[in-house]
Amino acid sequence: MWPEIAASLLAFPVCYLLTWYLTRSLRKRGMVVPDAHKEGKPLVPRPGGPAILAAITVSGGLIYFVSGDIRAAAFVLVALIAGAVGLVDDLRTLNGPLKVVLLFLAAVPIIVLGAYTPRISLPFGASLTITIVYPFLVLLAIPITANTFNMIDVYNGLLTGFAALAAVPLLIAFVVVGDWVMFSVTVAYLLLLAGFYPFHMNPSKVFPGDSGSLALGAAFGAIVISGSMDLVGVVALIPAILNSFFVLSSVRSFMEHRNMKKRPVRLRDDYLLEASRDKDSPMTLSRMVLAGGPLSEQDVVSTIFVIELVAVCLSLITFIMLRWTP
Amino acid sequence: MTARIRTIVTISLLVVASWIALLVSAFVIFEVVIPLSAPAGASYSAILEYGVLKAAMGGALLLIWLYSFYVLRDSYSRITGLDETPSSSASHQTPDGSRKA
Repeated sequence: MWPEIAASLLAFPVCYLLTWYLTRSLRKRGMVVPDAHKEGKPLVPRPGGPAILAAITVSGGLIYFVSGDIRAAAFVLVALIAGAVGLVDDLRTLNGPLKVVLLFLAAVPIIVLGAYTPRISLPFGASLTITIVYPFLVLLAIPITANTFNMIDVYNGLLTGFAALAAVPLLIAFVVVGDWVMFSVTVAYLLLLAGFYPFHMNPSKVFPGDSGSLALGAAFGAIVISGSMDLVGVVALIPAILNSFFVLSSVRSFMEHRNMKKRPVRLRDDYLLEASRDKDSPMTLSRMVLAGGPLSEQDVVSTIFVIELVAVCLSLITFIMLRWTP
Repeated sequence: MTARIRTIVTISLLVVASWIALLVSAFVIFEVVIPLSAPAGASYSAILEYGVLKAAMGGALLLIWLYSFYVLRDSYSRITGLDETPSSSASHQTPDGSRKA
């Protein structure tokens, strides 16, 4: 238990130092994009995803080395494949459907390495064993979590803060069930987020890019599947799932948000964000948050964090229900 | 109650509604879908049919859960006055997404 936890602690310094380095080197190379919600649209380095990938590889790889648990190896490989797809998108821009198809590859390590239990736990001690169907669910789940995280990465600090909050119920659940390998993997995940957040919080000094968001989403999916916390993980992600579904049902295709003709949110002259009243604008979580009136970017992010806290509480209640046998 | 708190409460209710819909789906799977099994001594084709039926019912429940998102979205749009086109009236759009005259 202790060697795995010690290995997970490396995630913070690796991610923090590499992100610090990337903020400087990306700017020197001119790899910057405008921060659209700020006065003067300052240029922000992107992508910071390679720092996230390096932290996952070092800490996850070490956890695998000391524990020999294949689930830690699957966690690293899933994140690396999704991150590689994201990196290609950051550098060359992939179209939406192609990106979704490529993300199916990220689920392959879990299936090939057998890093899953083909059983879904249901409330009150019940469970559903689906040996044949489960691998197909894994194949769907990783692209879904990766894209869900990618679609929520629209404001400074939102993605990393959201991912950290969503991982908390998993951390508690792994302590309760005594799964110390997956606990260590989740600690590594939280610590790399802690290393990245100081640079990503408002005002951002670096953007994770698709390489960061897809890797974080796919890694979250890998933790949920390999740790057999399916329902707990789904509930923790409900606000992000709602956001993805609303966007997809509004635009009716896998469209990049940069390609959307109608914006869901409008930036006012006083730099407050306002919900678009255009009927054709896609519905997003931020547009819903802004329905009550204009807010600053930071207020939108903190409001979504409060909503995510509700989902975290529901996720913990779900976990209690899974464990409770009447 | 400020507008911001009202927004948080409304969206949180949406999240809770989605959670309840998920749990109801899980309950129906446990109570209705899992107990379905071919009678003892049934032929291989009958066992296969039951398997397909169970998978179809599980898939249908998942689709119902996703459909509940449409209902939640339209309800939220109505409550907050965001003029999102309700899914129920999306038929006035042409296949290429443009508006009919």
